[in-house]
Amino acid sequence: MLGGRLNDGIDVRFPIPFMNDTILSYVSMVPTQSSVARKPISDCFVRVPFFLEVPSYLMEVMPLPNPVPRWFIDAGAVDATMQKLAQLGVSQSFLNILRQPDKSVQSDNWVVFFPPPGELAALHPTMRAAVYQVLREFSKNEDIVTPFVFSNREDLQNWFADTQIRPELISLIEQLTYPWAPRPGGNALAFSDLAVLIGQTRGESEARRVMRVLNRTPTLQLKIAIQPGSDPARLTSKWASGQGDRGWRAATMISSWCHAKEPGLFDVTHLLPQIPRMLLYTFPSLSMGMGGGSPDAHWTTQHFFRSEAGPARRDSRQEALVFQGLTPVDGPYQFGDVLVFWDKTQQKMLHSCVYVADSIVFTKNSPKLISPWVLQEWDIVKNIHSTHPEDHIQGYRKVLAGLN
Amino acid sequence: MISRESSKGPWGRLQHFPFFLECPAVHLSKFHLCEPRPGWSVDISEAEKVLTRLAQCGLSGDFLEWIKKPGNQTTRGDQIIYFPPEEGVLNLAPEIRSAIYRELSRFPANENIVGPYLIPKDQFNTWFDNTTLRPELINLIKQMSYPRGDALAFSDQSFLSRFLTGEAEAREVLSILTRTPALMLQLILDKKSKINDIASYWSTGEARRTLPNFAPFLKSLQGAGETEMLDVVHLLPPLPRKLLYTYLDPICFGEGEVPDCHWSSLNFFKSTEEPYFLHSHFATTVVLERYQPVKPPYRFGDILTFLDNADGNAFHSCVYIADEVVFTKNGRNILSPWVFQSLAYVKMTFLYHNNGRIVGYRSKGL
Repeated sequence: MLGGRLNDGIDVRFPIPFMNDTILSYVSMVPTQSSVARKPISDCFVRVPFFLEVPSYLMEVMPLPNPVPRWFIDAGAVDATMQKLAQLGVSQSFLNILRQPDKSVQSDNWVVFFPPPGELAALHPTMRAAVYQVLREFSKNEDIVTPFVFSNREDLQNWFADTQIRPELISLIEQLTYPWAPRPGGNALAFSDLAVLIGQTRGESEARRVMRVLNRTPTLQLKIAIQPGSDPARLTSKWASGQGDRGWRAATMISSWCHAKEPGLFDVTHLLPQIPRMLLYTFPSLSMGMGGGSPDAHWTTQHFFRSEAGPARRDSRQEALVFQGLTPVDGPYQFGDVLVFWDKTQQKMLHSCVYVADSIVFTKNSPKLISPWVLQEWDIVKNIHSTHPEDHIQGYRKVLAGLN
Repeated sequence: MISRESSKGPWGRLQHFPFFLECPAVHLSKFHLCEPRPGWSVDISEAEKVLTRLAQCGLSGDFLEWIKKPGNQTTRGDQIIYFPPEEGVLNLAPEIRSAIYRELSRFPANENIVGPYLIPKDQFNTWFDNTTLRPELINLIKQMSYPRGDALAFSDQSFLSRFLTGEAEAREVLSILTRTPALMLQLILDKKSKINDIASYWSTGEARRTLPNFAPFLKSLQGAGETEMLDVVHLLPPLPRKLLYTYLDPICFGEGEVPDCHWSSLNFFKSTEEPYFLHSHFATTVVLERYQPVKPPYRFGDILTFLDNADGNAFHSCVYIADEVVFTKNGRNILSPWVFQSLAYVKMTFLYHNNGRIVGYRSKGL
């Protein structure tokens, strides 16, 4: 689907002395002992991946999860759901436990089941994936509807490496993960059993530590390598696209870098329009909620080329604005293209983000306060938001006179 | 321009990457090109005294006789405009030009003399690197530049325009002369970096109220490899992050006043800009009410005000970042961008002829 690589063809000769000789480590597959794996440069880009952690002031106001595992099922769908679970192969003994009077309660239109942690932890990953696919139909199962997603097992191990999380807890997380592969060949893993995990912590401080690490966001610094004498016009045409009258800013920076006497690695943040430049690697402030909603993916997409941040709304008007005035395009994508995730019905927008360069997008993956604005690998974003094989991704582009 | 690594400080280790920011063509196109005939404006009521003082500055008798001739002067309102001889202007010695222009700078109508283009004395050649300007023009600019403090000043663009081949070259000259030297700062993180101390520096003072603790962010990067570089833009509050390396957006004109240095300094920690600070009078009251004077060493977020030695008014302000680098907007005009500059450069721009001093201010109660 995505073929949008900026093939600038700039001759990147190393070493790049803008920093020092350690920069060489960027261009090889470095088996670091750190929590993140480096990737080799692609074209003239250098990625520095890292995890962004939620600031303390936000973690402190975030309630800890209920340590009691709960499954919510629509009161009118209990029998049918139980039947589906039985057909999937969930053991009769497990289902019998759920049918015990003290293992469920009706609340409003929901029947809440309390699966025992031991039995829940013992589910085979494939079975867990199938069961949760059924339970995902009920929006109250928030941790199942929007699980933590890891790109693969190595990513999961990196996620917790060099943290102070007890190995037993990390092992438990690994045990509770299940295949998350809406696309053929995917190796992503999902984790939904926060309640089981929190139930195994030794106290509040450890529980908060676990939550802080789990809520990390994988992101990266994206740097562009520029040699003295590089052609500014070619780069400018890529980075100023879609910026209209404000494209001069990217042009100015690129021109300045190309005129430098030394080769350099420059943070692409300086080439972004004002709003994403202001928001990158930050979390929403409380004042941003004064419009009645919290900035989400669609607000973020809509504001990518704006110079002023408008209020975040809670209604669907935000979604409608995402591709207003844009033309549908297929890949390869270019800087500023809007990428929209549609569900299989083509009626519901699951997510939207903006293509930056080299298979990197600018995204906010949730309206939650603990979800930051980041640059992220396109594959990661797809893993998070494309939950069904028939989900569809469509690109949109602003076509300006003289600028394409 | 060559990057350099700074000495260490509470901010960590910083690498400076100097570069020129060139004003976008869309802004430059709004400027009228200079009249090709240079003129010196003087209040009619002071004309005789001024001519005497110009003579004392070293202006030759022949030169004076020339501009006294009726055909070489005119009046406009309460001003008399002298049209100096071309060759005379070209051949003025730098020190004499400096003295004469200092006298003429008392009259605001001499815009190019009141606000000359400034080039650091030791960077004249660097300024014109990587440009396509003809060497003859560069030599002319050099010949007509004069010392002002630590800078070379150039005010004779009217005279220069006579040597240009056309509008395109005139716009190119304007683009190069209005370049703004800027710095890009990178924080160097390695295994030895004391992250909590560094995070504390960048989250200190008023930043503590408004910015997240950077420690987790920096630790994440520190763990990413042997040595990591983080662009300091990521450690700025939202507004300067948005403004850095940009020129005025035309949307600003809707407020009636356009942002200046004081607006930029007082809004540094704001997530939404306060138009209240557009007005110098109110900006001054805010400094007096909410800030207290501090002495060096300055820290992140301190406001450095440049006070007039004669009347105490603040004629410039900027925000201290780290390692003698400030966040500044050097003028209320569309050719002046928001940039990181060395404090030395800002001093060179605003402090000369013993005209002022710097006083630091820090938010009270922090």
